[in-house]
This record gives sequence, structure tokens and C-alpha cells, in this order.
Amino acid sequence: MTDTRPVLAELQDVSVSFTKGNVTAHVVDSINLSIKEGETVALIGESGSGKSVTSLAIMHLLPRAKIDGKIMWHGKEGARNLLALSTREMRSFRGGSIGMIFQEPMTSLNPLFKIGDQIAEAARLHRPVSRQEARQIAEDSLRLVGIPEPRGRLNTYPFEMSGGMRQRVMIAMSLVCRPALLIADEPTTALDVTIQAQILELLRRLQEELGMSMLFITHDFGVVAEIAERIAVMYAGQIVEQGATQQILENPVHPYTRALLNAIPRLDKRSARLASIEGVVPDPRALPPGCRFATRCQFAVPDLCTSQPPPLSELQDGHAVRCARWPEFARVEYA
Amino acid sequence: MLYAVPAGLSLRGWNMPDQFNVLLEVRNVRKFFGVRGKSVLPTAKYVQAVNEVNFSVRRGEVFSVVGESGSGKTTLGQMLIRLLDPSDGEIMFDGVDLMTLDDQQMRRARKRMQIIFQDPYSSLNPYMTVGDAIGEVLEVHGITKTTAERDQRVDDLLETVGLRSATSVRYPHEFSGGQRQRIAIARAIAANPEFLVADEPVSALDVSVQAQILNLISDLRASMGLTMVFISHDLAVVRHIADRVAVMYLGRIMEIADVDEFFDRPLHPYSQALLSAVPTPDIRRSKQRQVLSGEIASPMSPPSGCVFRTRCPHAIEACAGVVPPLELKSATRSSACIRDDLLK
Ligand SMILES: Nc1ncnc2c1ncn2[C@@H]1O[C@H](COP(=O)(O)OP(=O)(O)OP(=O)(O)O)[C@@H](O)[C@H]1O
Ligand SMILES: Nc1ncnc2c1ncn2[C@@H]1O[C@H](COP(=O)(O)OP(=O)(O)OP(=O)(O)O)[C@@H](O)[C@H]1O
Ligand SMILES: [Mg+2]
Ligand SMILES: [Mg+2]
Repeated sequence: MTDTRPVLAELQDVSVSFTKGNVTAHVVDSINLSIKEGETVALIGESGSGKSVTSLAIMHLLPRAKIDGKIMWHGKEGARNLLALSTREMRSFRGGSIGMIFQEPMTSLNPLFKIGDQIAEAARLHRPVSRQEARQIAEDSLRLVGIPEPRGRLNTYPFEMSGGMRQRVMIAMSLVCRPALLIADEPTTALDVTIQAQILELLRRLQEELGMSMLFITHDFGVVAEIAERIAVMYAGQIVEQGATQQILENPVHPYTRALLNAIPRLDKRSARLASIEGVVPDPRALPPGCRFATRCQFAVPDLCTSQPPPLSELQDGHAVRCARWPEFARVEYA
Repeated sequence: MLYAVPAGLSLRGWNMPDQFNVLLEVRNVRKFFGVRGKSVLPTAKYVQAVNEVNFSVRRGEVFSVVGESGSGKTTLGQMLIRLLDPSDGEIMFDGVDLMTLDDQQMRRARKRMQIIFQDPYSSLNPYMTVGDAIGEVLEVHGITKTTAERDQRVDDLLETVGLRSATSVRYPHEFSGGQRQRIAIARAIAANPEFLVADEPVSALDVSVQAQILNLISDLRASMGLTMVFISHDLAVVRHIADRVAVMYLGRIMEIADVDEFFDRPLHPYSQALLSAVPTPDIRRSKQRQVLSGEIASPMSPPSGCVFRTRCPHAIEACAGVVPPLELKSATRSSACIRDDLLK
């Protein structure tokens, strides 16, 4: 079955670097990623791999960064490059066509204002509505995310709510303008599993009802299996493997993806020993010339892996991997 | 010891008179924290962090305490080695109630028990070199007499946890999260303890590093014959490391069971809900699950009767009436639920 949904957003060779003095940190390197209408794509990777920076680049929220490449947006008005938009144009885009749930819910809600006012404010920023209407929108969106007694809740402050409730408010706020794309940066990482299950179910339901696309950032493969159609695995600022969720979870090819999956303790069986990945992620200010995973990879061989960076090679329909030795690994069944 | 357990043999299913086997026994332990109101008068408000908790830990086993945020795991763990005093109840360590010990006796007992904290970033003193942080423990307990002896032992310990000895002259901030957790572990095992409380030792770490630390803990357990209370909210980690599991909710224990039994057939409705909520990287299994509605109630005013009843899909009127006691349901498991009819 071929997927005929049109592409909504497309990252083309997007790179992000930060320069301090004469040292440059290459934090995101030539990312290519497309998100179709109604599709959920997960960006997964260890801490520091560049997931948040990638999403903030899409949102123009990295004032001190150097960003290269294009971020194409295929909206009703035709295609445009988001990176070329002016600050003012982008402001209306943000929260309008693209909604975002930030990694830290506590820091992204203003503790001094009632949540009803904060959501109404977000609505008025993007829609020509009266105060009264904005308040109604706020109430409706709290109801949409399953907060009981939404009218009464408009008058509460963030600190009066539990973590799960605050996360729902964040989601409500990101959805007031019915964005075509929702970027969710680790929206459940700080939550308990039973609350996480509620939020994931909520996001799935909202996506179905509103038909939006989602870029879902996480470091949890379990969460990815629940929510994503496609996965992009990041390591040290690069996408090292991407494909359909099933391809990645059941037939991972890149040694890093395999190692990560093997390192996770399983709920359904007890293993004597976990496969750990020795060593640490390379410093973005001093990246190795070859494959960035080579120093930790048990399959790395001199020259082939260490002299030049491996390209992202396409294996089959949408499954791509950045590894010089992939033809050997692709044939090996994943245990 | 009378009933020495052969190395490598799990204590699971070991049917032996418990009094020979038990290292730690927790009897009716409570911890209430007073909450000061705005008025000057003392108010009668309490956080019921741990309530009527009973269990025992056998020598050589890893006993895991699981539960969601705020369920009382840390409070309980700290009472086990008397970093906190219980409001009520007894903690019997090797047959002696910790609360009856005077300072000197307690100091001697401390040598036998240690803790690893959750946060590898704040659990080490930033102004002390790694060598001094570990050496301090050796000196306090009089384990090494001379500086040379001390330094040698520090190097050995660092090697045991997989760090180079050159590490000892450096400061905590120079290390990654995983390395710091290794240092904290080296410090915890410095005095050769018999008993270790590990409070979420891998929660702050990435999975690749988490695997390194879990493997290290397994190795140490085998080589030192450690008895451990392993606190975690990550059930997959618990399945990997534990022999027995206790599930807490709002300060109370809902179920205690052998690890495989617990994961294969959870008995208590909360255990069932908790297990079904864990996302697994297995797309065939992931879509069917039971989602609990509602949120954890406040520990300042827990529901009457069963504390879980406000979220329990099987709650009936009677659940509000009495606090269900933690009862033995089979030789190897107990559960606190009056709806026995369901639990077959
Ligand atoms: N403003 C900045 N200036 C310089 N470096 C930065 C800046 N923001 C992020 N970085 C660096 O970029 C790298 C990627 O950071 P990013 O926050 O994207 O990681 P992440 O994948 O989201 O990790 P986590 O899972 O911990 O959230 C890190 O090495 C980080 O230190
Ligand atoms: N010193 C204290 N004073 C007042 N309340 C406290 C104190 N310490 C803990 N509590 C409360 O006791 C309850 C249990 O806390 P505890 O830290 O033991 O939970 P936990 O299960 O370890 O949670 P987490 O998974 O978040 O670490 C919580 O409601 C907490 O707010
Ligand atoms: Mg991030
Ligand atoms: Mg805790």
C-alpha cells in the first residue's frame, strides 16, 4: 500500500550550529525529514542528540544559532520556506499553523497568571476574537483535553494543578488555533505511567479528531511504539536510521539502533544481562571525521568507518540507514 | 550463618523458616509529616507518606519497591537505614529494632547499611575529590588505618565499579551522569555493607548508560552477597533486577509478590493497571491497554477505606468502608484488596 497523503512539512539539509568565541558546536547536521498530513513522526535519541534543537529550529526559537538548509511548508497558500520568513510572519505561524508543547511544562506556563487567561491570550494572539469569545475558546479547549469542570478551572493557577493536569493545559494551549502540525517535545517524560497513558491516549484521540500531523520527540522506544507511524533515530546531531515504526522496531539495521533496543530492560522477559553501550556521545565541538558512532560501535573497522562520514543509504521504501557496513547488517536477523 | 545460600542460587521459592532468613523486617511502619498551616497554631494536617507498611527482606535478595511519584518510596527507603525516623512501628535489622539503638550502636549498624540516591548530580559533594569522598567513608568506619592503605582501597573500589584509578584526584563535575553514579556506588560499597538501599539509581540516566549501571549492580550483588531494597518507578528495570516486588500506592502496600508471578499475573487491580500502562517497544502488544481515569489522590486527605478505590475499575461501595489489610493469598504473595472474587 502506498501512502498518498501529501507532505505537509519538510526539513531539507537542516543544520544548526552554535559558535562561542572560536569554537563551533555542530549540534544538528544535515537533517532531512518529511511529515505528511495526518502523520505522526517520532524523533528519538539519547540526551543531547539534538532533538529539541531541531524542533526549536522549526519554530525560529534559536536566536543565537546559525541555521542552514530549508524548512518547506506546504500549506494552502502553496509552498514556502519557513527559515526565510520574517520574525513577524513567523510569529503568526507559531501557535497558528504550528503548535508546540515544550519539554518543561512548569517553565512554559506563566506561574503568575490564571490558566484561563493564558489560554485566552494565546487564542487572541492568532484569531480576531473578543475577550468573551476567547474565554469560551479557552473553556472549550480545556474540555477537549479532558479537564473536568473546565469553566471553574479557568480561574486556577498553574501551581494549583498536578503535573498531569498542567500537561493537559499545555496541550490545550497548543491546540487553541487548531494547528496543522503539533510538535510535542517529550510531553510525557516527567509524568507517571498511568498519567502518561492518559496523555498518550488523549493525543491520539485529538489527532484523529483534528486530523493534524505530529512531530513527537522522545527518548522512550515504548512511547514511540504507542504513537508513531515513522521513526527517525538521532545520534550526535544526525539521523542515523529512519523508517516505519515496525521496520525500526523489528528490523533495525544501524548498530546504534540495535544497541539501544538491546539495552532496554524488557517487561515481558527477564534477561541475565543487558547489552550496554560503552563510552559516551561525542562532544559536538569536536566531532570525529568518520562515523560519529564509531568510537562506541563494536562493528567499527579502521578507515571504512573512521576516515569519512557514511552517507544515509536507502534500503527499501522509506527505510534509510547511515552506516558504511549496512549491507552486511541488513541481512542479519535482529534477535 | 546457619543457612548459607550457595552462590548463584536465587532465594526465590526458598522455603525456610523465615526467622533464619530475614535480614530486615518492617512492622507497621508509618511516617506522617506535619504540615504547618498559615496560622501560628499547630494544625492537625499531615501528609501520610507511609502508612501501616509491613514486609520483610530475606538475606541475599533484591526486594523492589515500585509505585508512582509521591507514593512514599523514598520516605520508606530512608527509614530502612534510619536516615528518617518512623512516626510509628518498628524496623528490625538483623533482629534488632533500629530505634532502640544509641548513637554508638547506630554508627556500628550504619557500617552495615548504605544508600545510593537517585540523582547522580547532587548526591556527591562538589568540593571533594572523588578519592576524598570515598576515603571519608573508609575513615569514618575505621576500615583503613593509614593513608597509603586508604588510597589503595579507593583505587580498588574505583576499579570495581569500572573507573580508572586516576579518577580519584578529580572532582564530580568532571564526570558524566553514568560515571558519577559509579562513583556514588563505589562510595556506598566502600564499607562492605550487607544491606543496600538503592533509590532510583538509574532513573536519571539514558538507557545505554542505565544498562551499564544495572549490570554493575548485578555483578556487585553476586560478588558481595548484598541484600538490596531497590526502589524504582520503572517496572521493566524492576523485572530485570528484582527477586520480589512490593507495589505502593499513596503510602500503602497494595501487593507483594515474587517477580515473575507479579509480572505474569498481577493480582491487585492497581498492579494490573500499572503494568498495563507501561508502554513497550513492541507494536504487536502496544495498542491494547487499560487506561486508568483520574489522578492520584492527595496524601493529605487520602480516600477512606482502600486508597486506590477512587481510580479502581472494580471498586464497590464496601471498598470505602475498611482499609483492606495486606493478606497472604498464596505461599508467595499477598495483596490488599477485598474483592477476592475478582482475583482468582
Ligand atoms: N543555545 C545553545 N547553545 C549552545 N549549545 C546548545 C544550545 N542549546 C543546545 N545546545 C547543545 O546542543 C546539543 C543538543 O541539545 P538538545 O537540547 O537538542 O538535546 P536533546 O536531544 O533534546 O536532549 P534531551 O533528551 O536531554 O532533551 C547539546 O549538546 C546541547 O548542549
Ligand atoms: N519532609 C517532608 N515534609 C512533608 N512532606 C513530605 C516530606 N517528604 C516527603 N513528603 C511527602 O510524602 C509523600 C511521599 O513522598 P516520597 O518522596 O516518599 O515519594 P516517592 O514515592 O519517593 O516519590 P518519587 O517517585 O516522586 O520520588 C509525598 O506526598 C511527599 O510530598
Ligand atoms: Mg530535549
Ligand atoms: Mg522518591
